[in-house]
Formats: sequence, structure tokens, C-alpha cells
Amino acid sequence: MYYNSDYFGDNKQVSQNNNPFSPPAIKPPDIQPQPATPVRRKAKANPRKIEPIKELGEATLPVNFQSNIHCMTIVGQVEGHMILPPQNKTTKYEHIIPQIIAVEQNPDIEGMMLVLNTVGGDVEAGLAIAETIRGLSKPTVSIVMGGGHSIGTPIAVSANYSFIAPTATMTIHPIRLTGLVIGVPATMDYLERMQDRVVQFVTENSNISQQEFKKLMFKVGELSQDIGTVLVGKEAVHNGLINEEGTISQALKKLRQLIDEQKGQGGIH
Amino acid sequence: MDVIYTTYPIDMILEDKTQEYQFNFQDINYQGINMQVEPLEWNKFRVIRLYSTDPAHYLNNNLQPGSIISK
Repeated sequence: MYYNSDYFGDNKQVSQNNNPFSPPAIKPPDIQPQPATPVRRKAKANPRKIEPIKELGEATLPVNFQSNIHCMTIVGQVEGHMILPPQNKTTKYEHIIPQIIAVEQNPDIEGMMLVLNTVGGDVEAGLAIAETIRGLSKPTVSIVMGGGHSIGTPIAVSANYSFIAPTATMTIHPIRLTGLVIGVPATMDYLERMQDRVVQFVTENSNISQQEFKKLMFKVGELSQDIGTVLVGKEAVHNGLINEEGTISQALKKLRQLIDEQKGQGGIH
Repeated sequence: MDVIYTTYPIDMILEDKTQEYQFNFQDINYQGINMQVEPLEWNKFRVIRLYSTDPAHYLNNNLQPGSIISK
């Protein structure tokens, strides 16, 4: 590349160059003088102040932070009697159920928040978790973030009040098609009864009717390779499956309200 | 007698990938908190995931996933 020596010079010299063989002079860019900006003094923090935070890691943890609300997350596959191969991210019921009992027992805990992002899993384990949550005397609020599919549905409705994030989805489909049966004489009757347990639990704990839920379950043309329905955010609310569409802050607000209501009735304490 | 009710393809769930990936996770109780850890060397563990329901435990810097703990 040819660099004109006049590039950084002034315009006067460029205009005087009349040689036709010389490359055209590059017009120097119009550089406006920048107004002097105030010097940002906050950019450099005092390294002496950061060091103890880095080394000891003590500054970010509030001292004596005690939450009266505990949070339970149901993620990945709900694992039941069979240990799934380790590439699965699982929620194990032997972890969850003692935690729910601990929440019930601990007088410092006043409510429980349930965050769901699950693809389903074992029917028995899922129903066991759902039944245990339903049996809690302390207020519970669930929120479906991401997905609450298959067996996630009874877990989502088991709380006193349920929320769904606007983008979250819930897939409702029959057990026998994508579900798996291991070591069971595969009678349709057995699966039918298994499925009825799920249908019964969901309809008992939400505003959806049995006919409506079964209609969603056996809908054709929604899922590409299966029958069933995908409910996104508001749709789950319209069907009466979930109470409200909302966010974490709304869910926490509702939980605090339920705690206050129960305190007013003299429920706990 | 297991019935798995899920949206995932069943072969994806049951396929054993332990040959491809080395999974070596343990469940331990450390300072009263149940967690999943990966043993590194003698008495050293890398935190993978906490099982606790207490939100305060998740603010503890020493127990952030990836940090190394020793009993």
C-alpha cells in the first residue's frame, strides 16, 4: 500500500502535487478536535480494597442471612426406583422428600417455593413428590420456568398456587406412547390405571376438568410424532391447569401473602 | 416396575454413556449441606451441585459450583 507522505500533513501541500503519475493524494480525514472529556476517576479501583474480598471471599455473603422461604428445584429427569445413566441430570426423590419433611418440621421456614424445569420422569417418584408437597401444611407456590412436561404437570399443580413463566411450556401426552415400561407385563390396562393416577391428581389439584385434561392428552396434530398438547405460558392458564402467568417476583409476593394469611389464621407459630 | 413418563426419547435417557464420558460424582454432606461433588485427589472435592433448599447456602462463596473443598 502506498502511503502518501502528505497524509498527515496539511491540505496545502496535497493540492500542490500536480504530477499525473503520482497516485492520487489521499484526502486527510476530517478530524474534529475532540472536546476534552472529564477524566473518569472511578475506573481504577483501589487494589488494596479488593484483595481481602478476593482472598477471603467474605464480603459478598450477608452475615446472618436467613430466609424464611426455602426453594426447591425440580430439574432434568425425575429419578425413581431405577438409577438412570449418569449423563442424565436428575432430581432424586430420596433427596426431595426428606427436604420437604425438613421444611415442614423447621419452625424457621414459613413457606416453600417450587421451581420446575423438568422433562418428566418416573411416574411413581413424581407422584410421590407431588403428594408430599400437597400434604405440606406450610404455604407452597410453584413456578414453571422453561418446562414442566409430563410428570412435571402433577408436581406443578401440587402447590397451593401455581405460576408459569410466559415462555415456559408444558407437554401433556398419554403415558403409553412416549413413556417407557420396564419389566411390566405390558397390558394396556396397567398403563391406563397408571395414567389415571396422573389424571386424577392433576384434576383434583387444579381447575382443569377431567374431560378437558384428557382432551389435551389425546389431541392429534400438535406434537410431531405423538399425540398430546404443548401448552405455552398463558395457554396453561386458560385451560385452568396453572393459576397465573408470572415471574419469580410475583410468585414470591404470592407466597409471602399466603404466609401472612396463614399467620393471621394462627396456622403456624 | 418402572413407568417413565417423559418427553425425552427413551434411548437418550437409557443409553449408557459412561464409556464416552468419565463421570465420577459422589453425594456427600459437607457442613450440613448435601451436595454432589467430584473427588479430585485425597480429601479434595470439586463442588458440582448443591441439593439444599436453603437459598442462603447458594450465596456461600466457598460452595459455588466449581470451587474446591476439603473435609
